[in-house]
Amino acid sequence: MNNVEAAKGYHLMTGSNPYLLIILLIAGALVFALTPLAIAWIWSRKFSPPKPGATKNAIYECGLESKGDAWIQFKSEYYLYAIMFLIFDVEAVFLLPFAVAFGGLPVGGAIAMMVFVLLLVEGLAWAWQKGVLKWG
Amino acid sequence: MSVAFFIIALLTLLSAVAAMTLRNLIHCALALAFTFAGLAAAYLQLGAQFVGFVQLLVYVGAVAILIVFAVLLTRGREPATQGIFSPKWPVGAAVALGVFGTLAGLLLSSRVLHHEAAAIAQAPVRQIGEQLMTHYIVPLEVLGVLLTAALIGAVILAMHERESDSPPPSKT
Amino acid sequence: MTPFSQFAIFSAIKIICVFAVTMFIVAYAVWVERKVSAAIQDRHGPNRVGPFGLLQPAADAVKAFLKEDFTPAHVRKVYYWLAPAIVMIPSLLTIAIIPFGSQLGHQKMVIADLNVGVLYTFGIVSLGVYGIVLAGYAANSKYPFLGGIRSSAQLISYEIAMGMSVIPVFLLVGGLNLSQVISYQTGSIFHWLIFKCPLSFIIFLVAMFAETNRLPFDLPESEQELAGGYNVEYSSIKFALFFMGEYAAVTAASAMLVTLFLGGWTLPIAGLDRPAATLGVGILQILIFLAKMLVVEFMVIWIRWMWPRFRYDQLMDLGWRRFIPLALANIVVTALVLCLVVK
Repeated sequence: MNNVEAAKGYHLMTGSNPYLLIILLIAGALVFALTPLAIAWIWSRKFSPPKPGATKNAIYECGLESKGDAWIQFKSEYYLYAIMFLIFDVEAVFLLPFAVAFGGLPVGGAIAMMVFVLLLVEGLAWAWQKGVLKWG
Repeated sequence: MSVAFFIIALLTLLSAVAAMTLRNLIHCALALAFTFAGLAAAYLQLGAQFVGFVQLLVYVGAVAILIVFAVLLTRGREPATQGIFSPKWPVGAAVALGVFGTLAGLLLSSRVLHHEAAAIAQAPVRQIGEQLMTHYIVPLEVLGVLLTAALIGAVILAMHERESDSPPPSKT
Repeated sequence: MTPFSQFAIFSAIKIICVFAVTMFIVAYAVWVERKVSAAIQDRHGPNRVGPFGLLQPAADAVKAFLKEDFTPAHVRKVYYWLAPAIVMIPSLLTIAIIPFGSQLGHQKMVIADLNVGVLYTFGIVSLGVYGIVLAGYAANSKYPFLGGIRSSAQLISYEIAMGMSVIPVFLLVGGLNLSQVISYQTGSIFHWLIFKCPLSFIIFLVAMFAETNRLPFDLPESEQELAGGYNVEYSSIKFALFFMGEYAAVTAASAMLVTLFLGGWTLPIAGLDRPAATLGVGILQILIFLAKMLVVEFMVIWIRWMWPRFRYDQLMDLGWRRFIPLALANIVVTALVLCLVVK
């Protein structure tokens, strides 16, 4: 690698493009999390082969026998909350660049963002008033 | 175009195909999450930090979670028995081609492609914010209205379900 | 040595050191938790393995490995194996962008100094839901499934509160980079953001408990209702990974809290809020960061033994009807005040 390329690579990885580090880190975290699992698996193969039994294999429910399917029907509220989460997540994403740029914004820009926030507040207030924000 | 790009593109495409063809809905949803993550990686690889992490936050962390939720909350069924292709697949293909054609046409005719130098320069978050609050105010407000409409729509659906005693329809 | 190989070596050293320290803290957080709970409940706590039971974490680790690695027959095997690892990874990744010191020599004491800093954090934190949802789904059994769904609904609700709570911080700082947040807090103790945005701090703190599944918000693991929640079908090392994942998440969240609100590695005395010129000062600043973080972590542990658990409806109400409106109001008020003061 000649010097120019090396300098470019260095700049790419330390300055504007630190993803190599993130990839290294993801690799590190993966190794870190998977190693104990792998060791445990090898250990169990070599030294402690599984000894399953009917009771041992049974579903854990405080000693009672399990009835019916595990996959039960849930309240639709969970899904509603997930949708509201998505909506407010998107709002937060727009609030971040607004917060960063706030110092240099004209007053009009700030007001525009307030309108944006108030629109969503209105949605939230309406949902509250309709009683859907109340669990159960 | 680099090796990294091709690896990312390959993984993204493979997981997208998996999301379409697998039979277990949970596998599909997770494959879709992986596709979204691949797109995030592609953005990052192109130097768009903000968009990349927003993709991670909104699509992998929220949209895919919503889909996983939808699958888990509706009663589990046996995997579908009919073929992968819906009987109406030509319609789907036509719509997909239409969308692809429109997007490709717009991209090719826009000025973005002719300003390669500008595309490489990174847009810092501050600049994105300033542009958003000055040049792109109208789209921003329209987006606000859209999000509020989505919120209200979701609430109305939930209220309908609460009123009727019938089991909620499966939503996917 | 080329700059690139130099960079690679230093990065590898930093990553290994940070992981090692984190894992050490995780291991001893468990020990501290047991000692503190014992003291509060007038017991002795672990005191057999080593002096003061200090070798207890090692004994626990050995025990976790030696136990039968049992996979129940009804589980979905692949997800069952992967879920513990997926729970662990996000906490380790969030630590990557936290500046844990100023510099040693010319090396900045942060693994990846991203410009979009906090956005990365929230992106990674939002992945934490997968581990829990998958653990619940993989177990294919009622209690874990219910625990997984509940937990993920809790996580996403408080993720919003957490994300909204920090917006005022960035209104003041004017950048998402965490080193920037720290340099904003230098000069005087009253520049710390805990004093400038107290409401943000409170919301962030409470959301942090909910996000890390700690009491008073440890609904997903509520023993009485769910027999243990999403990890009830797990045993041996896989259970230990869930357990460590919780403490790793607490550690990461404490580090984030210290960075955002408590001045990070700085102290407003004796010039400790400037980047270190000598090795000694550099090390001292790392120690300051660790000390602050451990104080926060100790508080998290302490609170667990002082508070009863919230009910699930109370938890969701608190999140959606108290904290999210409060956080939104906080943003609007902060923006208005800034407008009036600056313009």
